[in-house]
Amino acid sequence: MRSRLKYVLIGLGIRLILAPFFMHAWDLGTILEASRQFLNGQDVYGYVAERTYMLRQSTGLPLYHYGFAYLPQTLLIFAPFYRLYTLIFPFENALDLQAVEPVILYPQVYVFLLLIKMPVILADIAVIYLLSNREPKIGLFYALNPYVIFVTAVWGNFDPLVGLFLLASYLCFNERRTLSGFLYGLSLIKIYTIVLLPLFIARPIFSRREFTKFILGLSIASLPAMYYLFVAPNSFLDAMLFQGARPVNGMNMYHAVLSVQGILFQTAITRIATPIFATALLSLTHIVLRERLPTLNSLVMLMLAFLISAPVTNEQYLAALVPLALLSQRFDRKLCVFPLLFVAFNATYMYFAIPIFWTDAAFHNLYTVIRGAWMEATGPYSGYVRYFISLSFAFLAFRSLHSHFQPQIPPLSKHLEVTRTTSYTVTAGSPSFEVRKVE
Amino acid sequence: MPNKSLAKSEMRTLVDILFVTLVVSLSFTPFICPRGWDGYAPENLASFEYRGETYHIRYSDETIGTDKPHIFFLEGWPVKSLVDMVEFSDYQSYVNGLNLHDDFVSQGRLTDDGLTVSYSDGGLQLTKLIKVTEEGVVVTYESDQPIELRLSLWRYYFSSVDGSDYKGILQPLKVETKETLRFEFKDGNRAYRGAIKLSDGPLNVKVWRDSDGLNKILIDYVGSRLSIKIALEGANRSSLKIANKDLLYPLMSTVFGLVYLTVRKYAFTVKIRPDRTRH
Repeated sequence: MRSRLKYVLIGLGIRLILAPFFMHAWDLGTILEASRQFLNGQDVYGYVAERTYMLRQSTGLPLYHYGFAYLPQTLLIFAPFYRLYTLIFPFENALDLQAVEPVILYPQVYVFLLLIKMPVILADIAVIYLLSNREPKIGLFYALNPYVIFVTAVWGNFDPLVGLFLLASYLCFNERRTLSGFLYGLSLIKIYTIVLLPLFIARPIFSRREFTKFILGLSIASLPAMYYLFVAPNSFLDAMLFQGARPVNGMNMYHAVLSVQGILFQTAITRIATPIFATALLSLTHIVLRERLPTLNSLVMLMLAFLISAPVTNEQYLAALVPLALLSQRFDRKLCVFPLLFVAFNATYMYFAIPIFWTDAAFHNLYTVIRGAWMEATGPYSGYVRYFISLSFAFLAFRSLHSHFQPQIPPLSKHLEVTRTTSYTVTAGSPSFEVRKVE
Repeated sequence: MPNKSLAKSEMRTLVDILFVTLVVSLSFTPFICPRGWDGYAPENLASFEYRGETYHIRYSDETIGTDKPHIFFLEGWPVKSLVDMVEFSDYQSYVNGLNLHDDFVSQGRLTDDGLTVSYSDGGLQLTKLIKVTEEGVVVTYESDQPIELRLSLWRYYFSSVDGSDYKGILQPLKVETKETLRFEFKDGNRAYRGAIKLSDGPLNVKVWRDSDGLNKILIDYVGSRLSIKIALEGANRSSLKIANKDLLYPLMSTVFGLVYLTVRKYAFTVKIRPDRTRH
């Protein structure tokens, strides 16, 4: 109990110290803008659809405005914290984080960043607690993991929140099916967890009662989405369609495509990538169900397959998998290194320190100089480095996925022994084991 | 049981090979990049690019500035690389004395004809259409009323314009006014010749030089429509060459794939000895 509390406090302390001073300006700007519109009663999705329409009209290209394209449950989580910010600063609270030169007010920005990151920080704390409950070392690993800390406290993205919902949904899957369905429904705030839906549904499908409970929970969590589907179907569906139609991007095996700039070309490649992704997911879902693999392993495998084969897999997506993967005890922890490296050659670390660099003109100039020097030094090679990192991640994730197929070796006891079958002569593939009772 | 296990391990090896094949194949996708116009929008600012067998054009790319087209051509074997040919500079171009970059709001849009850039200053409407034909790159300026147009074409550097390098002559360096203007330039050790063909007679043509050489051609024109065709003389249109593609990506994916398969193979050929003491 003591160590659990200690890990929670350590995790909380680190995150609270970092949170006010760093941000991904565009991503947090999106949450800020959407929260503001939501609280003002504006159609959040309509705004994104309108910007997309204008962008397309003006360029003649099938571009999307990268705005708020998440389920509305997200707003119910973040908008109260934004409201709290406006209550603390009723005047002069307008931050424009999406401008080419972000407009930042001090000390407002520190308070805003701390508050807007609170849901994700609290989610991390809950994950630390839940993991520590099962295995204290895993809880500590999560509390101190630089990748998770980066996504939560520095970036400010909410994939760790998705990670909590998935973890919690799994933990109560067997005993509290309605709650599990509800939590899974919440995890859909980042729509990519939809890849787990067939698995979640197929498991309880043999019992109509259990299936109904899960669907009931899922439906309750999806009520805000249903509301928008009813009142603003076009703009809402446009935003959801955007997530499915985004051109290839991120840290994945398609990264070489990004060496050729052009939305038309990248969209064409996405049309190739999407069937690859769908085939991989459907095949794996079929296999894990046919082989009756444990639910936890199956969830981790499907998320890994998503990270490997989806056309768009950004650096922060892995954070949604980390809690479940750590629980499965088959997680290759080296996977966390690659997204952290990728960021250095993509957004760059300096970008996250904008709130610090914008405090005065000298710092601002320093930012320009440092970022310019970094871009000049790495610019000609950054594409190759990113591809190298993407491939490293893809192959390691693929190997990690393989490991879930290997049978778990049960611990030896007086009554049990593990003997290898004659398959030890196999030259490729994993050995198989059989367990038999010693007479 | 052993047969089942063998079948499973073979299946896993097959999946490994399929995965590696997929990754390597994807690294070749830039090679199938189609010709023609394309665009992208970093931070919602539209940039455009034309890729062809001979010519390559960039417009408003953050790496080259926001006031172009910048025309390149493809040269080399077996891998073609981009050779800088000439760029139109809005920073140094004027309409009725107003700077095209600073005093007008411009908006690029892809149309069936090519890239159309619309300029607006409230009263005047001006369009710049950039299209690529068999003969070269055609840039057409068209206005809803007669205008005084001064265009600047840049290159670092021209070897000669209209047959002269203008060494020892005081600026401004005036060129005989005519509809076709030839220029020469070097890239590495190779010398190239190009031509600028105007649809209408210009008022004046001047060249400009800095301490290192001729770097600017200025064209003055009065009227409402001027078309400028830029062509490389003796341009090679062989389609057998690999056009400006990066071989490092396929190389990296192949090495990664081979290493992965080797490691996997090694991992599973480790001899597993049964613990005989238990029998």
